Amino acid sequence: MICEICKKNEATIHIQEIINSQKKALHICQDCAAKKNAGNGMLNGLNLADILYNISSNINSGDGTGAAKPNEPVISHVPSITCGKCGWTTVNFSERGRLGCANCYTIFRDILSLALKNMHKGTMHVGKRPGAGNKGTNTAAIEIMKLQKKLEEHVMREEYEKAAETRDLIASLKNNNKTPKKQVKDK
Amino acid sequence: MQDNPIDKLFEKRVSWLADSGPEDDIAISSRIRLARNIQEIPFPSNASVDHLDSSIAAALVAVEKAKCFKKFYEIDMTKLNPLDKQVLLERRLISREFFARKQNTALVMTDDETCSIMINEEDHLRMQAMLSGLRLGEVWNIIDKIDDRLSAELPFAFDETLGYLTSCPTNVGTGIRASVMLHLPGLVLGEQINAVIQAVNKLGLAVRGIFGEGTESLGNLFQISNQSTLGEMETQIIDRLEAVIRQIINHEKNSRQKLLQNRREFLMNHIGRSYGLLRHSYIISGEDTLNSLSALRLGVDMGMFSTVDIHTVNELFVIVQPGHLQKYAGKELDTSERDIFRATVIRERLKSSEKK
Repeated sequence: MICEICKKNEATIHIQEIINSQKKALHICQDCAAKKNAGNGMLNGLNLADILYNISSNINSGDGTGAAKPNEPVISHVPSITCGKCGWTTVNFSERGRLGCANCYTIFRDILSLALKNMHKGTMHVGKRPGAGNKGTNTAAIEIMKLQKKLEEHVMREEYEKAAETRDLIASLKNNNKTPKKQVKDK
Repeated sequence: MQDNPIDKLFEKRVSWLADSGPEDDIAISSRIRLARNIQEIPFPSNASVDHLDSSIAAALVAVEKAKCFKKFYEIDMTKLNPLDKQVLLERRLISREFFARKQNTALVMTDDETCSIMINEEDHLRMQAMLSGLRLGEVWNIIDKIDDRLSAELPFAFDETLGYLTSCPTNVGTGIRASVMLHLPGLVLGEQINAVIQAVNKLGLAVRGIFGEGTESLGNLFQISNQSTLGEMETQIIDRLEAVIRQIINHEKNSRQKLLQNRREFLMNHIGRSYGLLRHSYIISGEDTLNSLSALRLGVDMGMFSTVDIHTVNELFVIVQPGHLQKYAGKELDTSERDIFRATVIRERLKSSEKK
Protein backbone atom coordinates (compact mmCIF):
# COMPACT_ATOMS: atom_id res chain seq x y z
CA MET A 1 0.00 0.00 0.00
CA ILE A 2 1.29 3.46 -0.91
CA CYS A 3 1.25 6.46 1.42
CA GLU A 4 -1.88 8.57 0.95
CA ILE A 5 -0.04 11.82 1.52
CA CYS A 6 3.21 11.72 -0.47
CA LYS A 7 2.00 8.89 -2.73
CA LYS A 8 5.60 7.66 -3.00
CA ASN A 9 6.66 5.62 0.00
CA GLU A 10 5.17 2.41 1.29
CA ALA A 11 2.51 3.14 3.91
CA THR A 12 3.61 1.62 7.19
CA ILE A 13 1.37 3.50 9.58
CA HIS A 14 -2.32 2.73 9.54
CA ILE A 15 -4.65 4.86 11.58
CA GLN A 16 -8.22 3.78 12.10
CA GLU A 17 -10.96 5.62 13.79
CA ILE A 18 -14.54 4.61 14.31
CA ILE A 19 -17.04 7.35 14.86
CA ASN A 20 -20.76 6.56 15.01
CA SER A 21 -19.87 3.12 13.64
CA GLN A 22 -18.36 4.69 10.52
CA LYS A 23 -14.83 3.54 9.94
CA LYS A 24 -12.22 6.02 8.74
CA ALA A 25 -8.78 4.82 7.75
CA LEU A 26 -5.59 6.71 6.92
CA HIS A 27 -2.55 4.90 5.54
CA ILE A 28 0.67 6.90 5.56
CA CYS A 29 4.44 6.43 5.58
CA GLN A 30 6.86 7.06 8.46
CA ASP A 31 8.13 10.35 6.98
CA CYS A 32 4.72 11.90 6.48
CA ALA A 33 3.60 10.77 9.92
CA ALA A 34 6.66 12.43 11.45
CA LYS A 35 5.97 15.63 9.52
CA LYS A 36 2.36 15.69 10.59
CA ASN A 37 3.28 14.84 14.13
CA ALA A 38 5.83 17.62 14.37
CA GLY A 39 3.12 20.03 13.28
CA ASN A 40 0.65 19.37 16.03
CA GLY A 41 2.43 17.35 18.65
CA MET A 42 0.03 14.49 18.90
CA LEU A 43 -1.69 11.91 16.81
CA ASN A 44 -5.04 12.82 18.25
CA GLY A 45 -5.02 16.17 16.48
CA LEU A 46 -3.91 14.51 13.28
CA ASN A 47 -7.01 12.33 13.06
CA LEU A 48 -9.28 15.24 13.67
CA ALA A 49 -7.56 17.44 11.13
CA ASP A 50 -7.93 14.71 8.56
CA ILE A 51 -11.61 14.32 9.19
CA LEU A 52 -11.92 18.03 8.65
CA TYR A 53 -9.88 17.88 5.43
CA ASN A 54 -12.15 15.33 3.87
CA ILE A 55 -15.26 17.05 4.98
CA SER A 56 -14.22 20.45 3.81
CA SER A 57 -13.34 18.96 0.42
CA ASN A 58 -16.89 17.71 0.21
CA ILE A 59 -18.20 21.16 0.91
CA ASN A 60 -15.95 22.45 -1.78
CA SER A 61 -17.01 20.16 -4.58
CA GLY A 62 -20.56 21.31 -3.96
CA ASP A 63 -20.07 25.05 -4.19
CA GLY A 64 -18.77 25.21 -7.71
CA THR A 65 -15.15 26.12 -6.99
CA GLY A 66 -14.04 22.97 -8.75
CA ALA A 67 -14.42 19.28 -8.14
CA ALA A 68 -12.13 18.28 -5.31
CA LYS A 69 -11.08 14.67 -5.04
CA PRO A 70 -11.68 13.23 -1.60
CA ASN A 71 -8.03 12.49 -0.87
CA GLU A 72 -6.51 15.80 -1.88
CA PRO A 73 -5.49 18.13 0.88
CA VAL A 74 -8.05 20.84 1.00
CA ILE A 75 -6.31 23.90 2.30
CA SER A 76 -5.58 24.99 -1.26
CA HIS A 77 -9.25 24.87 -2.33
CA VAL A 78 -11.01 26.35 0.64
CA PRO A 79 -11.30 30.12 0.45
CA SER A 80 -9.18 31.31 3.33
CA ILE A 81 -11.21 32.76 6.18
CA THR A 82 -9.69 34.71 9.06
CA CYS A 83 -11.32 35.26 12.42
CA GLY A 84 -11.63 39.01 12.94
CA LYS A 85 -11.32 38.66 16.71
CA CYS A 86 -8.26 36.47 17.11
CA GLY A 87 -6.68 36.19 13.65
CA TRP A 88 -7.08 32.41 13.41
CA THR A 89 -7.16 31.22 9.76
CA THR A 90 -8.58 28.26 7.85
CA VAL A 91 -5.00 27.02 7.48
CA ASN A 92 -4.42 27.19 11.27
CA PHE A 93 -7.63 25.30 11.76
CA SER A 94 -6.91 22.59 9.18
CA GLU A 95 -3.36 22.06 10.42
CA ARG A 96 -4.05 21.92 14.12
CA GLY A 97 -7.69 20.89 14.31
CA ARG A 98 -8.15 23.53 17.00
CA LEU A 99 -9.90 26.90 17.05
CA GLY A 100 -8.43 30.24 18.11
CA CYS A 101 -11.22 31.71 20.22
CA ALA A 102 -14.93 31.43 20.99
CA ASN A 103 -15.77 33.65 18.01
CA CYS A 104 -14.13 31.13 15.64
CA TYR A 105 -17.15 28.89 16.13
CA THR A 106 -19.20 31.50 14.26
CA ILE A 107 -16.54 32.25 11.65
CA PHE A 108 -15.80 28.61 10.75
CA ARG A 109 -19.42 27.49 11.16
CA ASP A 110 -19.70 25.94 7.70
CA ILE A 111 -16.59 23.79 7.99
CA LEU A 112 -17.54 22.84 11.53
CA SER A 113 -21.16 21.91 11.16
CA LEU A 114 -20.54 18.70 9.21
CA ALA A 115 -17.50 17.79 11.25
CA LEU A 116 -19.43 18.17 14.50
CA LYS A 117 -22.18 15.94 13.19
CA ASN A 118 -19.64 13.17 12.63
CA MET A 119 -17.91 13.64 15.97
CA HIS A 120 -20.86 13.82 18.31
CA LYS A 121 -24.18 12.17 19.08
CA GLY A 122 -26.07 15.34 18.27
CA THR A 123 -25.58 18.86 17.04
CA MET A 124 -27.32 20.74 19.82
CA HIS A 125 -26.18 21.25 23.40
CA VAL A 126 -28.63 19.83 25.94
CA GLY A 127 -26.39 19.73 29.00
CA LYS A 128 -25.92 22.18 31.84
CA ARG A 129 -25.60 25.92 31.40
CA PRO A 130 -23.40 28.51 33.06
CA GLY A 131 -24.56 30.41 36.12
CA ALA A 132 -25.06 29.00 39.59
CA GLY A 133 -28.65 27.96 40.18
CA ASN A 134 -29.28 27.81 36.46
CA LYS A 135 -29.48 24.05 36.49
CA GLY A 136 -32.30 23.75 34.00
CA THR A 137 -31.32 22.00 30.83
CA ASN A 138 -32.35 23.27 27.48
CA THR A 139 -35.68 21.46 27.41
CA ALA A 140 -36.70 22.85 24.02
CA ALA A 141 -33.45 21.54 22.59
CA ILE A 142 -34.10 18.08 24.01
CA GLU A 143 -37.58 18.13 22.49
CA ILE A 144 -36.20 19.23 19.15
CA MET A 145 -33.65 16.43 19.21
CA LYS A 146 -36.28 13.84 19.95
CA LEU A 147 -38.40 15.17 17.09
CA GLN A 148 -35.42 15.19 14.78
CA LYS A 149 -34.91 11.49 15.45
CA LYS A 150 -38.58 10.89 14.82
CA LEU A 151 -38.32 12.82 11.59
CA GLU A 152 -35.48 10.61 10.39
CA GLU A 153 -37.51 7.52 11.23
CA HIS A 154 -40.52 8.81 9.32
CA VAL A 155 -38.37 9.58 6.30
CA MET A 156 -36.81 6.13 6.48
CA ARG A 157 -40.25 4.52 6.53
CA GLU A 158 -41.34 6.86 3.75
CA GLU A 159 -44.11 8.30 5.93
CA TYR A 160 -43.83 11.70 4.32
CA GLU A 161 -46.99 13.25 5.73
CA LYS A 162 -45.95 12.48 9.28
CA ALA A 163 -42.45 13.65 8.45
CA ALA A 164 -43.80 16.99 7.28
CA GLU A 165 -45.80 17.40 10.49
CA THR A 166 -42.75 16.65 12.58
CA ARG A 167 -40.67 19.05 10.51
CA ASP A 168 -43.18 21.86 11.10
CA LEU A 169 -43.24 21.10 14.79
CA ILE A 170 -39.44 21.36 14.91
CA ALA A 171 -39.55 24.66 13.04
CA SER A 172 -42.11 26.14 15.44
CA LEU A 173 -40.10 24.99 18.46
CA LYS A 174 -36.98 26.55 17.01
CA ASN A 175 -38.76 29.85 16.49
CA ASN A 176 -40.29 29.86 19.95
CA ASN A 177 -36.92 29.13 21.39
CA LYS A 178 -35.38 32.18 19.84
CA THR A 179 -37.25 34.86 21.73
CA PRO A 180 -36.61 33.74 25.31
CA LYS A 181 -32.99 32.99 24.47
CA LYS A 182 -32.30 36.61 23.57
CA GLN A 183 -33.85 37.81 26.77
CA VAL A 184 -31.56 35.60 28.76
CA LYS A 185 -28.58 37.00 26.91
CA ASP A 186 -29.57 40.60 27.55
CA LYS A 187 -29.62 40.19 31.30
CA MET B 1 9.37 30.60 51.83
CA GLN B 2 6.35 28.51 51.08
CA ASP B 3 6.67 24.78 51.54
CA ASN B 4 6.82 22.84 48.32
CA PRO B 5 3.31 21.35 47.97
CA ILE B 6 4.71 18.50 45.90
CA ASP B 7 6.84 17.45 48.88
CA LYS B 8 3.73 17.48 51.06
CA LEU B 9 1.84 15.38 48.55
CA PHE B 10 4.67 13.01 48.53
CA GLU B 11 4.46 12.27 52.22
CA LYS B 12 0.95 10.92 51.72
CA ARG B 13 -0.48 7.93 49.93
CA VAL B 14 -2.21 8.53 46.62
CA SER B 15 -5.82 8.87 47.75
CA TRP B 16 -7.46 7.50 44.61
CA LEU B 17 -5.27 4.42 44.96
CA ALA B 18 -5.14 3.96 48.70
CA ASP B 19 -8.87 4.26 49.38
CA SER B 20 -11.36 1.52 48.69
CA GLY B 21 -14.17 2.02 46.24
CA PRO B 22 -16.92 -0.14 44.74
CA GLU B 23 -15.66 -2.73 42.23
CA ASP B 24 -12.13 -1.52 42.91
CA ASP B 25 -10.61 -4.92 42.22
CA ILE B 26 -11.17 -4.18 38.53
CA ALA B 27 -12.19 -0.51 38.33
CA ILE B 28 -9.23 1.31 39.86
CA SER B 29 -10.45 4.89 39.59
CA SER B 30 -13.15 7.12 38.11
CA ARG B 31 -12.40 10.56 36.77
CA ILE B 32 -14.37 13.36 35.14
CA ARG B 33 -12.93 16.49 33.65
CA LEU B 34 -14.71 19.55 32.31
CA ALA B 35 -13.25 21.94 29.72
CA ARG B 36 -14.17 25.60 30.13
CA ASN B 37 -12.97 28.85 28.57
CA ILE B 38 -13.28 32.43 29.67
CA GLN B 39 -15.19 34.84 27.41
CA GLU B 40 -13.24 37.41 25.38
CA ILE B 41 -9.86 35.74 25.89
CA PRO B 42 -8.47 33.72 22.95
CA PHE B 43 -7.89 29.99 23.64
CA PRO B 44 -4.45 29.30 25.17
CA SER B 45 -2.74 28.04 21.99
CA ASN B 46 -3.64 31.34 20.27
CA ALA B 47 -3.16 33.64 23.26
CA SER B 48 -0.51 36.27 23.94
CA VAL B 49 1.49 36.25 27.17
CA ASP B 50 -0.81 38.97 28.52
CA HIS B 51 -3.86 36.91 27.68
CA LEU B 52 -2.39 33.86 29.38
CA ASP B 53 -1.56 35.87 32.47
CA SER B 54 -5.05 37.31 32.63
CA SER B 55 -6.72 33.91 32.36
CA ILE B 56 -4.53 32.65 35.20
CA ALA B 57 -5.28 35.71 37.33
CA ALA B 58 -9.02 35.51 36.63
CA ALA B 59 -9.18 31.80 37.35
CA LEU B 60 -7.23 32.05 40.61
CA VAL B 61 -9.38 34.92 41.90
CA ALA B 62 -12.51 32.95 40.97
CA VAL B 63 -11.29 29.84 42.79
CA GLU B 64 -10.67 31.92 45.94
CA LYS B 65 -13.97 33.77 45.76
CA ALA B 66 -16.05 30.75 44.85
CA LYS B 67 -14.71 28.86 47.88
CA CYS B 68 -14.65 25.65 45.88
CA PHE B 69 -12.14 23.91 48.10
CA LYS B 70 -11.37 23.87 51.79
CA LYS B 71 -7.69 23.23 51.48
CA PHE B 72 -5.88 23.66 48.23
CA TYR B 73 -2.59 24.63 46.64
CA GLU B 74 -1.92 27.11 43.86
CA ILE B 75 1.11 26.19 41.84
CA ASP B 76 2.90 28.34 39.30
CA MET B 77 3.92 25.66 36.82
CA THR B 78 6.63 27.81 35.23
CA LYS B 79 8.50 27.83 38.55
CA LEU B 80 8.18 24.11 39.16
CA ASN B 81 11.20 21.90 38.48
CA PRO B 82 10.80 19.12 35.89
CA LEU B 83 10.94 16.36 38.49
CA ASP B 84 8.04 17.80 40.50
CA LYS B 85 6.07 18.20 37.28
CA GLN B 86 6.76 14.56 36.51
CA VAL B 87 5.42 13.57 39.93
CA LEU B 88 2.17 15.48 39.26
CA LEU B 89 1.85 13.71 35.92
CA GLU B 90 2.41 10.29 37.43
CA ARG B 91 -0.23 11.01 40.07
CA ARG B 92 -2.59 11.95 37.23
CA LEU B 93 -3.14 15.45 38.59
CA ILE B 94 -2.00 16.97 35.31
CA SER B 95 -2.19 15.79 31.71
CA ARG B 96 0.68 14.93 29.42
CA GLU B 97 -0.19 17.95 27.30
CA PHE B 98 -0.10 20.25 30.33
CA PHE B 99 3.21 18.74 31.40
CA ALA B 100 4.73 19.55 28.00
CA ARG B 101 3.30 23.06 27.70
CA LYS B 102 5.90 25.79 27.62
CA GLN B 103 3.56 28.77 28.03
CA ASN B 104 2.41 30.30 31.30
CA THR B 105 0.35 27.73 33.15
CA ALA B 106 -0.87 27.27 36.69
CA LEU B 107 -2.39 24.46 38.70
CA VAL B 108 -4.89 24.42 41.52
CA MET B 109 -5.25 21.19 43.44
CA THR B 110 -6.85 20.06 46.65
CA ASP B 111 -4.57 18.64 49.32
CA ASP B 112 -6.33 15.27 49.12
CA GLU B 113 -5.66 15.16 45.36
CA THR B 114 -9.33 14.58 44.57
CA CYS B 115 -9.67 17.74 42.49
CA SER B 116 -7.37 19.74 40.30
CA ILE B 117 -7.77 22.60 37.86
CA MET B 118 -5.26 23.03 35.07
CA ILE B 119 -5.16 26.64 33.91
CA ASN B 120 -4.08 27.27 30.30
CA GLU B 121 -3.94 23.71 29.18
CA GLU B 122 -5.61 23.39 25.76
CA ASP B 123 -8.54 25.29 27.28
CA HIS B 124 -8.36 28.04 29.90
CA LEU B 125 -9.72 25.70 32.56
CA ARG B 126 -9.59 21.95 32.72
CA MET B 127 -11.08 20.88 36.01
CA GLN B 128 -11.07 17.30 37.15
CA ALA B 129 -12.30 15.20 40.03
CA MET B 130 -11.12 11.67 40.70
CA LEU B 131 -12.11 8.94 43.16
CA SER B 132 -11.14 5.32 43.64
CA GLY B 133 -13.35 2.53 42.29
CA LEU B 134 -16.36 2.85 40.00
CA ARG B 135 -17.99 6.03 41.29
CA LEU B 136 -18.80 8.18 38.28
CA GLY B 137 -22.01 9.50 39.84
CA GLU B 138 -20.21 10.75 42.94
CA VAL B 139 -17.41 12.22 40.87
CA TRP B 140 -19.94 14.05 38.73
CA ASN B 141 -21.59 15.58 41.81
CA ILE B 142 -18.23 16.91 42.98
CA ILE B 143 -17.15 18.45 39.68
CA ASP B 144 -20.66 19.71 38.86
CA LYS B 145 -20.68 21.76 42.09
CA ILE B 146 -17.22 23.17 41.48
CA ASP B 147 -18.25 24.16 37.96
CA ASP B 148 -21.42 25.85 39.30
CA ARG B 149 -19.46 27.84 41.83
CA LEU B 150 -16.81 28.88 39.36
CA SER B 151 -19.35 29.88 36.74
CA ALA B 152 -20.86 32.33 39.24
CA GLU B 153 -17.49 34.10 39.29
CA LEU B 154 -16.18 33.57 35.76
CA PRO B 155 -17.96 34.35 32.47
CA PHE B 156 -17.55 31.07 30.58
CA ALA B 157 -17.64 31.03 26.78
CA PHE B 158 -21.04 29.52 26.01
CA ASP B 159 -23.25 29.34 22.95
CA GLU B 160 -26.99 28.61 23.02
CA THR B 161 -26.72 25.89 20.39
CA LEU B 162 -23.20 24.57 20.81
CA GLY B 163 -22.90 24.81 24.58
CA TYR B 164 -19.50 25.38 26.18
CA LEU B 165 -17.01 26.45 23.52
CA THR B 166 -13.67 24.64 23.58
CA SER B 167 -10.42 24.95 21.70
CA CYS B 168 -10.96 21.56 20.07
CA PRO B 169 -14.37 20.88 18.50
CA THR B 170 -14.21 17.32 19.85
CA ASN B 171 -14.91 18.72 23.33
CA VAL B 172 -17.59 21.30 22.51
CA GLY B 173 -20.99 21.17 24.21
CA THR B 174 -20.67 19.68 27.66
CA GLY B 175 -16.86 19.75 27.61
CA ILE B 176 -17.01 16.53 29.57
CA ARG B 177 -14.60 13.64 29.49
CA ALA B 178 -15.53 10.88 31.89
CA SER B 179 -13.15 7.97 32.22
CA VAL B 180 -12.60 4.87 34.29
CA MET B 181 -9.30 3.09 34.72
CA LEU B 182 -9.72 -0.65 34.46
CA HIS B 183 -7.35 -3.48 35.26
CA LEU B 184 -8.09 -6.23 32.75
CA PRO B 185 -5.51 -9.01 33.05
CA GLY B 186 -8.13 -11.75 32.62
CA LEU B 187 -9.26 -10.45 29.26
CA VAL B 188 -5.64 -9.99 28.13
CA LEU B 189 -4.53 -13.49 29.24
CA GLY B 190 -7.72 -14.97 27.79
CA GLU B 191 -6.96 -13.15 24.51
CA GLN B 192 -10.36 -11.48 24.44
CA ILE B 193 -9.16 -7.96 24.95
CA ASN B 194 -9.13 -6.99 21.27
CA ALA B 195 -12.71 -8.11 20.80
CA VAL B 196 -13.72 -6.04 23.82
CA ILE B 197 -11.82 -2.97 22.60
CA GLN B 198 -13.47 -3.23 19.19
CA ALA B 199 -16.91 -3.57 20.70
CA VAL B 200 -16.33 -0.59 22.98
CA ASN B 201 -15.08 1.50 20.05
CA LYS B 202 -18.20 0.65 18.11
CA LEU B 203 -20.24 2.14 20.93
CA GLY B 204 -18.45 5.43 20.41
CA LEU B 205 -16.22 5.11 23.47
CA ALA B 206 -12.43 5.34 23.49
CA VAL B 207 -10.03 2.78 24.96
CA ARG B 208 -6.47 3.74 25.77
CA GLY B 209 -3.61 2.02 27.52
CA ILE B 210 -2.54 3.92 30.63
CA PHE B 211 1.10 3.10 30.05
CA GLY B 212 2.70 2.65 26.65
CA GLU B 213 1.56 3.90 23.28
CA GLY B 214 -1.43 2.92 21.19
CA THR B 215 -3.18 -0.36 21.83
CA GLU B 216 -0.22 -1.96 23.58
CA SER B 217 -0.80 -1.54 27.26
CA LEU B 218 1.74 -2.26 29.95
CA GLY B 219 0.33 -3.47 33.22
CA ASN B 220 -3.00 -4.35 31.55
CA LEU B 221 -4.40 -1.00 32.63
CA PHE B 222 -6.93 0.59 30.30
CA GLN B 223 -8.82 3.82 30.34
CA ILE B 224 -12.33 3.83 28.89
CA SER B 225 -13.84 7.25 28.15
CA ASN B 226 -16.62 8.97 26.27
CA GLN B 227 -15.86 10.60 22.92
CA SER B 228 -19.04 12.48 22.11
CA THR B 229 -19.63 15.64 24.15
CA LEU B 230 -22.49 17.28 22.26
CA GLY B 231 -26.14 16.32 21.93
CA GLU B 232 -26.52 14.48 25.23
CA MET B 233 -26.82 15.57 28.83
CA GLU B 234 -23.81 15.01 31.10
CA THR B 235 -25.68 12.40 33.10
CA GLN B 236 -26.68 10.53 29.93
CA ILE B 237 -23.05 10.42 28.83
CA ILE B 238 -21.98 9.17 32.25
CA ASP B 239 -24.75 6.56 32.48
CA ARG B 240 -23.94 5.19 29.06
CA LEU B 241 -20.25 4.92 29.96
CA GLU B 242 -21.03 3.28 33.28
CA ALA B 243 -23.31 0.70 31.68
CA VAL B 244 -20.53 -0.33 29.30
CA ILE B 245 -17.96 -0.39 32.12
CA ARG B 246 -20.17 -2.74 34.14
CA GLN B 247 -20.35 -5.11 31.20
CA ILE B 248 -16.59 -5.05 30.77
CA ILE B 249 -16.17 -5.79 34.48
CA ASN B 250 -18.45 -8.81 34.10
CA HIS B 251 -16.48 -10.05 31.10
CA GLU B 252 -13.27 -9.65 33.08
CA LYS B 253 -14.71 -11.64 35.99
CA ASN B 254 -15.88 -14.41 33.67
CA SER B 255 -12.55 -14.52 31.93
CA ARG B 256 -10.72 -14.87 35.26
CA GLN B 257 -13.06 -17.67 36.30
CA LYS B 258 -12.49 -19.51 33.04
CA LEU B 259 -8.73 -19.22 33.39
CA LEU B 260 -8.93 -20.62 36.89
CA GLN B 261 -11.07 -23.56 35.75
CA ASN B 262 -9.40 -24.44 32.48
CA ARG B 263 -5.81 -23.22 32.77
CA ARG B 264 -5.15 -23.28 36.48
CA GLU B 265 -1.41 -24.12 36.32
CA PHE B 266 -0.79 -21.53 33.60
CA LEU B 267 -2.44 -18.87 35.72
CA MET B 268 -0.72 -19.85 39.00
CA ASN B 269 2.63 -20.03 37.23
CA HIS B 270 2.17 -16.59 35.72
CA ILE B 271 1.26 -15.03 39.05
CA GLY B 272 3.85 -16.92 41.09
CA ARG B 273 6.72 -16.07 38.78
CA SER B 274 5.73 -12.43 38.67
CA TYR B 275 5.74 -12.27 42.45
CA GLY B 276 9.15 -13.91 42.50
CA LEU B 277 10.49 -11.39 40.04
CA LEU B 278 9.20 -8.44 42.08
CA ARG B 279 10.20 -9.89 45.45
CA HIS B 280 13.72 -10.95 44.53
CA SER B 281 15.02 -8.79 41.67
CA TYR B 282 17.95 -6.45 42.17
CA ILE B 283 17.56 -4.85 38.76
CA ILE B 284 14.13 -4.47 37.17
CA SER B 285 12.93 -2.43 34.20
CA GLY B 286 9.78 -0.33 34.22
CA GLU B 287 8.13 -2.62 31.68
CA ASP B 288 8.86 -5.83 33.62
CA THR B 289 7.63 -4.14 36.77
CA LEU B 290 4.28 -3.02 35.37
CA ASN B 291 3.54 -6.41 33.85
CA SER B 292 4.55 -8.28 37.00
CA LEU B 293 2.55 -5.89 39.19
CA SER B 294 -0.48 -6.61 37.04
CA ALA B 295 -0.07 -10.34 37.65
CA LEU B 296 0.47 -9.77 41.38
CA ARG B 297 -2.66 -7.62 41.52
CA LEU B 298 -4.61 -10.41 39.82
CA GLY B 299 -3.26 -12.87 42.39
CA VAL B 300 -4.26 -10.60 45.27
CA ASP B 301 -7.75 -10.12 43.79
CA MET B 302 -8.16 -13.89 43.54
CA GLY B 303 -7.13 -14.38 47.16
CA MET B 304 -3.82 -16.08 46.46
CA PHE B 305 -1.79 -13.81 48.72
CA SER B 306 -2.62 -13.28 52.34
CA THR B 307 0.38 -11.04 52.97
CA VAL B 308 0.04 -8.48 50.21
CA ASP B 309 -2.93 -6.11 50.13
CA ILE B 310 -4.36 -4.48 47.04
CA HIS B 311 -3.47 -0.93 48.08
CA THR B 312 0.21 -1.79 48.37
CA VAL B 313 0.11 -3.07 44.80
CA ASN B 314 -1.88 -0.05 43.64
CA GLU B 315 0.63 2.32 45.14
CA LEU B 316 3.54 0.43 43.64
CA PHE B 317 2.06 1.12 40.19
CA VAL B 318 2.65 4.81 40.86
CA ILE B 319 5.87 4.88 42.84
CA VAL B 320 7.84 2.67 40.43
CA GLN B 321 7.57 5.39 37.78
CA PRO B 322 10.64 7.52 37.04
CA GLY B 323 9.52 10.77 38.71
CA HIS B 324 8.46 9.15 41.96
CA LEU B 325 11.60 6.99 42.12
CA GLN B 326 13.86 9.99 41.76
CA LYS B 327 11.85 11.97 44.27
CA TYR B 328 12.24 9.08 46.72
CA ALA B 329 15.94 8.83 46.03
CA GLY B 330 16.22 12.58 46.48
CA LYS B 331 18.39 12.88 43.40
CA GLU B 332 18.41 12.39 39.64
CA LEU B 333 18.88 8.82 38.49
CA ASP B 334 19.67 7.60 34.98
CA THR B 335 17.86 4.61 33.51
CA SER B 336 20.15 1.91 34.88
CA GLU B 337 20.33 3.54 38.31
CA ARG B 338 16.54 3.69 38.31
CA ASP B 339 16.27 -0.03 37.50
CA ILE B 340 18.38 -0.82 40.56
CA PHE B 341 16.59 1.62 42.85
CA ARG B 342 13.18 0.46 41.61
CA ALA B 343 14.04 -3.15 42.51
CA THR B 344 15.09 -2.01 45.99
CA VAL B 345 11.90 -0.05 46.61
CA ILE B 346 9.70 -2.94 45.47
CA ARG B 347 11.61 -5.54 47.53
CA GLU B 348 11.31 -3.43 50.64
CA ARG B 349 7.62 -2.71 50.18
CA LEU B 350 6.77 -6.36 49.64
CA LYS B 351 9.00 -7.44 52.52
CA SER B 352 7.43 -4.99 54.93
CA SER B 353 3.92 -6.10 53.99
CA GLU B 354 4.93 -9.70 54.78
CA LYS B 355 5.81 -8.71 58.33
CA LYS B 356 2.42 -7.18 59.02
